[in-house]
Amino acid sequence: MELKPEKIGEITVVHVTGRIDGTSAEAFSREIRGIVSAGSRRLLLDFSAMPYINSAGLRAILVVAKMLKNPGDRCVLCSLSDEVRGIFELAGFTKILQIYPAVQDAISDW
Amino acid sequence: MSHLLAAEEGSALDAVTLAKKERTVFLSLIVDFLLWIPDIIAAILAGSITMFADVVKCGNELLATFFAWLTLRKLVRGNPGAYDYGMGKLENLTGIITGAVMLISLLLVFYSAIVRIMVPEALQAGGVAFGIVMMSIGVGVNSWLWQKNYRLARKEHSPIMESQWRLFRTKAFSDLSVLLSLILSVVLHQFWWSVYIDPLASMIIVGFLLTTGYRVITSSLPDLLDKTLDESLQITIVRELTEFFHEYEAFHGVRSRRSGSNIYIEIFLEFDGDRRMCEVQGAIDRMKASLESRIPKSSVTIVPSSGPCRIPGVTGEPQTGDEGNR
Repeated sequence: MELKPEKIGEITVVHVTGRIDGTSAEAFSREIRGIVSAGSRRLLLDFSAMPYINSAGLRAILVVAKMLKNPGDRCVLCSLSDEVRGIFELAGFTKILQIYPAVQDAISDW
Repeated sequence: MSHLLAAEEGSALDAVTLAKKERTVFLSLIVDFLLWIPDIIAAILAGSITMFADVVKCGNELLATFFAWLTLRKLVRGNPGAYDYGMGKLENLTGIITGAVMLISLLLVFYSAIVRIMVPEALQAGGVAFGIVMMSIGVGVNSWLWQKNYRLARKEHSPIMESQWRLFRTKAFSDLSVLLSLILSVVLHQFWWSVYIDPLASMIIVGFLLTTGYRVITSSLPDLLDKTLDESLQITIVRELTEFFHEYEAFHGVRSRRSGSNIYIEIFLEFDGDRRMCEVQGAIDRMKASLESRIPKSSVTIVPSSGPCRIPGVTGEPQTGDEGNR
């Protein structure tokens, strides 16, 4: 699993490559915390290259969602495969986070 | 407080199921023992290696059933205050013993069969006839007990009942193998190679013991070692956390395990410091009730905390909220 942050205006797009599961969720959480601690409080998580996520990964995203709860903060997701989107729906994430089809859709709607 | 009350209500319901389990296992024990004695006599009279192996196997199974009955008896009649978390660990342990006994039996049967293949012997007709009668009874009774235990095991997840129905299925099929081998040995006795039917048939019993013993151990051992719940239940827990997303300020982790048929879940959450205690308690009660209704036989504890929980001896930061999977 690899994270690649990219600054687009005030938004930090984090391109996630690889699976987020029991072995990588902790690293994912740690790196995201580093990005947020560095001042990026408007996160767009690009999951176009993330083929799989399990409950450990979902919990890591839940931690991120809670970290970005102050006024002006925002965390949104984009580019989920059908399978990954199904897991997010099953776990109820579509009720707490906005999900866009692509990076451009999320940025234009920010 | 509500946690204790729920546990007491659960205990009353569990007592009925436990008493039923104890009766079923005790019945199995008696039937097993009654069938074992004539089996020994038939094996001696016939000189059949398959029957000898079956006797050794049955003796070990009898011991395993006795352990299972002792555990249940302790659960039904024991002092409820002595084990606050129930006796699920003992139940898991019994499952492992049952599996281990099956694997030991496997080695005994295998060794006996190899010896008989190297030094073949013809079976004794009188003993074989008695063996055929005994094995026919064994197939019938064990098939009945297999179905009875299977129905009970389907009602609730329990390592004991799970190992019991698998045990009786193995016994029914192994008795059938012995029965067929005895019949074939008699029918085909004019052929020189018929002396190998008996030891080769015992290899079928080896196969049954291997698969059943392996399954019983692999289903009980992870629970005994407090393995976290499987993925489908973990997703259910995450779903509850998203359902109640606005009730808490931060999420610091989840710990889960099985103990026998019971499931224990601890969720570490940070709440708004400006909220009143009764409001926080209300949120905790709602989350607990909701998750316990979704996961049968679960006991959920919401732990208000200001940071990730630490486990002695485990390094690293539990930022993923998963204490057990690291």
